[in-house]
Amino acid sequence: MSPLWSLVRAEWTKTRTVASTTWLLMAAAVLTIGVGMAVSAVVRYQVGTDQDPVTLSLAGLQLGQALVAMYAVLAITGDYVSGMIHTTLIAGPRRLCVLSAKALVTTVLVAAAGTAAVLGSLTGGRALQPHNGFTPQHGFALITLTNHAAVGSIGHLCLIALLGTGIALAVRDSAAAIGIVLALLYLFPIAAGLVTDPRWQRRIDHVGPTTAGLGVLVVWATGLFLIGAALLLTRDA
Amino acid sequence: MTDLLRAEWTKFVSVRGWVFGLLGSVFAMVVVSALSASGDRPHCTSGCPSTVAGPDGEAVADSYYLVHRQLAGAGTITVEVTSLTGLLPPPHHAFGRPIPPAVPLSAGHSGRQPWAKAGLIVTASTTPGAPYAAVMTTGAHGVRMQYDYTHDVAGEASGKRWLRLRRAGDSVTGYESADGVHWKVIGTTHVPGLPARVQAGLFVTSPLNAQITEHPFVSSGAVGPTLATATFAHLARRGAWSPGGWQGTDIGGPNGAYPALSGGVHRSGNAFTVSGSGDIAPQVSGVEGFGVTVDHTLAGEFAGLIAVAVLGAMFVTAEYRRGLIRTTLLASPRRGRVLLAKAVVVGSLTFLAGLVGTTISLILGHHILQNVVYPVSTGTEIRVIAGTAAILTGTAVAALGLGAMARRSSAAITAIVVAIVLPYLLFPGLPATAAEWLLRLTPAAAFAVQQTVPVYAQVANSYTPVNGYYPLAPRAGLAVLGGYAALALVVAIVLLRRRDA
Repeated sequence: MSPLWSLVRAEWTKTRTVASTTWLLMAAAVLTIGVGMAVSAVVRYQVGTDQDPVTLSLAGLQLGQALVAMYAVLAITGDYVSGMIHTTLIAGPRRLCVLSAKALVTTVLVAAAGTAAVLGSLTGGRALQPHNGFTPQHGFALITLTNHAAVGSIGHLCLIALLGTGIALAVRDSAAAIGIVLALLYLFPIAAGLVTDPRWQRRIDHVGPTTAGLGVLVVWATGLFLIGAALLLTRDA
Repeated sequence: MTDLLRAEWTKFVSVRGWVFGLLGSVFAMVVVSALSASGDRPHCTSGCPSTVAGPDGEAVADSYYLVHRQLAGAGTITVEVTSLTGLLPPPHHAFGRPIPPAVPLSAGHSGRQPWAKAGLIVTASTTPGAPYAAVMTTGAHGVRMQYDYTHDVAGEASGKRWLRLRRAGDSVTGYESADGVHWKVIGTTHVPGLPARVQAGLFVTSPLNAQITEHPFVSSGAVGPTLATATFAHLARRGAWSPGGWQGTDIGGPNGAYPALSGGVHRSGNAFTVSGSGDIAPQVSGVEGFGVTVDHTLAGEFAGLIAVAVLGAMFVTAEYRRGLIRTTLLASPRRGRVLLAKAVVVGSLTFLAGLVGTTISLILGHHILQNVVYPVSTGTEIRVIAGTAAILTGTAVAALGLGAMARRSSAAITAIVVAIVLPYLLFPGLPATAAEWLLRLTPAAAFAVQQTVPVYAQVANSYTPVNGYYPLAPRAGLAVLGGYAALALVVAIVLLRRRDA
């Protein structure tokens, strides 16, 4: 068995045997679908607006991403709190391999939960929205389950997990890491919503990890992940 | 209890990270507030006109055409409004606030703005924001008596076209009549600050037309300034009128704070035709408002809110992590009091941090936005500052309670931050009724404490959350968050007493 593969198995065993993993990822999927369906149920078609049925049905991601980030943070800080990090690093002295294994397990699990969340939300929107005027007569085709937004949203969740991993590695404390992640996720859209000058709205939207689209999120996530990785490699555990 | 408080106080201040965290929350609040306020600065080509403050310190619109002369004591003035017509702007879409101040009315169509006003007025001076009392016929709301901007008394339905104002000292009485013979009192009021010599006469004005659809982000329909034209006949006056003739003055005017068109007057004998544009009313927030409400200088509280949630949760979960909880409970076996002492310490510290952060943010915001911030009374300003600090306190205490329940900070922090922030992110896309329910039931209801501009029935506006109007009163909104925080604390105390530590 290759060393990386055994490290992946070790990480998988660790995360599988912690109760919070199942709870968090299930909650992420269920709450995403719940909020998405609630929004799909109350928002009606309005003439002259730029409503997008797919975006509406995926509104729950605003909540789901926080839980996904929390899972990613806990997967790292859990090791530090319990002291397991010492055991982990003795068993796998090549820290980069350990980190790759951790990131792989986290990303795969988040992708699985994210797929369930996104498909569930789209199915809910597909069932509910035609009752609210999102019909072919008004120019809305039925939501398909395999669209760009679906794939993008799953990618979004995986990148958020990577971002959370990076921050957790850097600060090594779950409370502080969660605080920073939540600030990154939510402060940009709130600031953009409060500012009235459209030019400033665009400026804020263009730099925020959750407001600017996948490209900018890739930069945020890889940047923070690399910082976290560098700190893991250079600091004492 | 004093010992407990001192113990918890010592724990807090002896952890360097927490003290830095508290200072950091103030810093984050101020920086984010200042950045956000910079993004609220309107771009005016030749200096933004100042918002006008009314007699009670509130922001008002004071823009109308006045045909006046001086009244140096007691007196009455009577007139018949024989017609009221108007011009509405051409239909077009407008997103958000920036409405061009002068939409060409040549492309518009005739029609009366429902709150177009024509009638008689007694005003302290021709300076915008002066104390006044007036009786008027309106576009679609019958005869009204209004005074000092925020007060509105309904007369009878339209059809009564004769109006009369009687002034004696600072007391003004409004009358209406269908025939000029039989008169009925609408109301009598005292107008504080009315000098001996007042300006009195005819006025016409017509507010912005914004037909707003239910969707809160989009206002569609005809948006822009309107013009009303009224003809007056049988103008009669009695009492201590100063010598001199009638004089026409455009109060506010096209360059004033309220988008308006030029008015004018045409006289033939005792009949006057007067055109006016604007409004004499309190300023509102949102599409029909033309300044920035005070809460726009406080956007940074969201950053502070996340920071104090982290502090509140850590203040208790750190004890579990380090095993300190056993020592704490050994030293004071009455467990409920321990948690209460923690809540008092973290609550008062975050309240203090909130006061400092909010005050600095507000001062900076006023400095950045200058004269476009709506003036509010000192009492309201204090309420906003203390209320915002209380939001931080409620958040910290709720996080403390959740942290003691879950014994892990991450769940507590995520729960409280998401509960406050998520409604804020979701409601702009929701229908107004759904948004209002979110702001009644979730901890985000507390933001009602930042609403500074009340709903006025006499001003047409979209009174929805996205425009800064909350479904709950300030105190009730804060009580919702307080209720959640208290509930979290009580459940935490019960669990702490029942469970092994």
